[in-house]
Amino acid sequence: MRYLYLGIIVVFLFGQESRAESRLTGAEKAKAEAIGAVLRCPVCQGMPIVDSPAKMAIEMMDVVNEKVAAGESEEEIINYFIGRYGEWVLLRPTAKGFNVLVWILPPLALLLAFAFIVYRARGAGKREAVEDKSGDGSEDSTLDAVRKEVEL
Amino acid sequence: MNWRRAWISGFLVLPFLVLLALGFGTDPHAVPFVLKGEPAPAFRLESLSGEPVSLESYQGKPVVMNFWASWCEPCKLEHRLLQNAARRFAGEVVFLGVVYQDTKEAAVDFLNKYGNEMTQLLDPDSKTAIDYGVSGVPESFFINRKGQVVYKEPGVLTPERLFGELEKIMRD
Amino acid sequence: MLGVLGRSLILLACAFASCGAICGYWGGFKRDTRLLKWSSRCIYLFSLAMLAANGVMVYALLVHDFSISYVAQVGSRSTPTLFTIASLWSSLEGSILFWGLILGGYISVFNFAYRNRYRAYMPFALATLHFIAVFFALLISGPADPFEPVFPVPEDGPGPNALLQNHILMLIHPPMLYLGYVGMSVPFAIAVAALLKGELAEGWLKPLRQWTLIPWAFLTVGIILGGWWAYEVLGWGGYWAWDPVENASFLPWLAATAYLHSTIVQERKKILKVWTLSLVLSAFLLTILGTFMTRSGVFNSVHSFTQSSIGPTFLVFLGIVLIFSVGLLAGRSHLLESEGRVGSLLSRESAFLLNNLVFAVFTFTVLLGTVFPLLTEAFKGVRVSVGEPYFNKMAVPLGLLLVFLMGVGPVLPWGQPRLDVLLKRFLLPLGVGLLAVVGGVLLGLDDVLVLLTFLLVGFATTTSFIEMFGPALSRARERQEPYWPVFWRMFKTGRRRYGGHIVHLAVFMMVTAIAVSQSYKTSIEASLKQGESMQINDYTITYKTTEGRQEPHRFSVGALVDVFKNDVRIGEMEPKLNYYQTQREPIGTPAVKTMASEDLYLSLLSFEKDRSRVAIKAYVLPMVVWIWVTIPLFVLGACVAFWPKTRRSQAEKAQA
Repeated sequence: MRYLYLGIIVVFLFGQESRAESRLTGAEKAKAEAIGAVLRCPVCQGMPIVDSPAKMAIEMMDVVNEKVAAGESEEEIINYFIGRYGEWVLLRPTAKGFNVLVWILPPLALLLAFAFIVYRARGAGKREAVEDKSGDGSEDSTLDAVRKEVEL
Repeated sequence: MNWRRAWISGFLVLPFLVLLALGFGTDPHAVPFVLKGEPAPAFRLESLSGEPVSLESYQGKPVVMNFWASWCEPCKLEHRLLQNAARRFAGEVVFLGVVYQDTKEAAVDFLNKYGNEMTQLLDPDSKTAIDYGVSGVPESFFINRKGQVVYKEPGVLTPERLFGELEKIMRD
Repeated sequence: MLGVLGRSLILLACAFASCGAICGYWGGFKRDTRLLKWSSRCIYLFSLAMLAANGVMVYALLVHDFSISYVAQVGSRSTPTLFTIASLWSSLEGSILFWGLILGGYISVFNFAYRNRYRAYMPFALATLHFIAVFFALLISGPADPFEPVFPVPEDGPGPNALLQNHILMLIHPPMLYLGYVGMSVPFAIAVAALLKGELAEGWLKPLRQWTLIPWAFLTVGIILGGWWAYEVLGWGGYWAWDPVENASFLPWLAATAYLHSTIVQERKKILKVWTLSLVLSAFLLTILGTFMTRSGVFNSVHSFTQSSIGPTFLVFLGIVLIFSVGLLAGRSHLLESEGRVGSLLSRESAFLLNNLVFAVFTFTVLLGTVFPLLTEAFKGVRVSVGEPYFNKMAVPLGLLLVFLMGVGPVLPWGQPRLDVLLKRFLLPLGVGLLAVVGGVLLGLDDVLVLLTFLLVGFATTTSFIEMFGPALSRARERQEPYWPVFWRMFKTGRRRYGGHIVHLAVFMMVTAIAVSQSYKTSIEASLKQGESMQINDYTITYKTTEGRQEPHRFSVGALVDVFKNDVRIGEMEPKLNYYQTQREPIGTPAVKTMASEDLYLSLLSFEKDRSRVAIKAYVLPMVVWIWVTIPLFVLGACVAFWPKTRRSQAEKAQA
């Protein structure tokens, strides 16, 4: 069961020659693929249905294609799947409620990092200006001097 | 060594460890059951004998829906149990089998070999399975008289489970 | 019989390690040389016992002694010998046994290399390694015992996991990854020794750096090989899916890479001591966390080994090491004060600092995304997924920021820069970057992110080349000497720097290949009757027939297709599905035609038994081969950086 995601026994796949995908226009196909990229294949545990070669994923992709062809919006289609498989089916957590954390924290951390560096560097710059210029700064003043520091 | 700082910081990481420990309690491979208490998704499928069958036609009756396939080993384990229950509760509870990702021939062979007391439906493109949030077989759904999904068994049914849940869907 | 032997060896190893740990710490604090000698002897004894235990297991696998639980679990008489040996690490218990062997190898070499040096630090480092060794020996003798007797003895076994014996890369990828994971114990021990000692002397930095570089290189190769394996086996035309297990290998890599950069600043400016040590500690902690995630089943992943009782044991170990590390760091940090300070915002140390913080944020993001489902489950009771779309969104800007820093960093001087000089130095790289963008546009590329990648990579590559070849040029001109001897002399004295730039070039190559292959991949799926064709880009694929072959360990079905490019036949391809006895679902072997500019990748989805029809998914993936090509470049860079200086070049440096 562990490797169900490789469930490529699609020997039975035939018989559905007119798959919905073939009826989609280019824009619709792109829309379906975008939706399929955020939906998790239930038998693969971690792969989006648009990529997975598992039969379940292919069938779910068919459902997406059909709904796109029927003119449903991205939100409606995604909500349909959430209604069946729970939020679990979404590979990209919705930025709502508690889940906001997973979206906010990394950029916040990056911002703090920037702020920290600017703060440290400005402090250093002031000190440097007051004190004398230490050797480190001036020895770098010409291109060639830097080149001499091959021993990093 | 600054022991106070050491201890305090050491204990700051405990929540993370607790979190990981909590992770043990859950089965990471289980797909959540979100249809609980919701109206059962309607369907219109063809049975193995060729008639169209829809959920509406069983309005007011408790229904057990079992998704299975002939290639599925665990399905064999629960097959006899389901057949016995279908015989015993005939007329009171509707037992539906839904053939999942399988050919009609293979399903018929299987049923000829192991016996069948249930109405068996074909779901060739798994639309109904997806509608019910199925992620593998076997999987069974218990629907009460009001047409609400009461319980999902994400694996092989045990007799206790089956009869316990049957009691519930027959009661309300 | 073999089982008893194996288990006794493990218990012996455990005893040696415990003895060594006690002798090491005791001797370190009391400065008792006799105890230290014993600690060092115990290392060799532990390694010998581990080696012997692994030998017993391999022998048992080869003679198919199914009375041993692990052999009964993964052995099979029909498995080819090569894969039988590889099955040592194909499943949980064996891989932990193998882990013990690698650990033994690492600590023996480490001990031998420094047998007469660093007397103040070595006892603590060795004792810490002994402590880790005790844990693994305990794990092997108890929760993950591979030598358990089986009764009644089965006639034959199921063979190793089908997915693992499906491709030759499985013979190299896991050992590489283990060499990376296990190797992180050594820098961890070195850092712990520094913290226990309460000082980080110049001399101790070198072992720390070198012993981080080794596992870092193995980890790098292991990760790339893992991607390659996924690409060659899983049949979806991808190589990285941000799966928890992939993240588990990526996390320590990020921390170790951050360390390799921060140590440069630390050596140069005598700052960031505590930070540097924390990075080393985190790299090890993240390997343990990664192993825990992989082996315990806490995380949802395709690669997870089965759930087992080793999870709780691992968690306890993780807890001990985590609390110990954080406590040690907090309790000792005041002893490791910065001696220097950061220069201006546009100085090289600021660039390094930023690089380190970006790496830290990157690590944090991947960790957060990986454990977030546990968080929501614990706090909200809702199960969510965090997958590829999330990680891609987060990783792309961070990755591009890092490439930017790789380009800007080397141009910035230490300390205080002069703006006019700086601007002049930026001109050429910027020009090349813009040229790359123009080239991309002329080639018909229109994706903004790809073009941005071109700009940054063009910029950074130029900087790297200038940094590598420029200094020798100006020196040669100044002294009016021929170029290459000057270059060679500089190369010899500045190996680390050159190694670093080679690695950077490998990264640029990889980043470009990933950006292009992700943004411009096309795929199409079709069901073909015999003689029918499908069309993808310039390629026409015509289905001929299906062939089934019985191999000793599997039944393989291949669809033969003719491939034409612009109506010229370029060859025959055969995507396959392999059926293993123990596995209902077949495992694919996609057919890949690798060309310099793009790969044609065919995946067999299904076939009809009468050969009348097959379903094939075809992908065209540009530039993918350039990802794998970086492996030798990474290795070369790491070797150049690692290679110890010869006496002569040290003397030359003293002269200069």
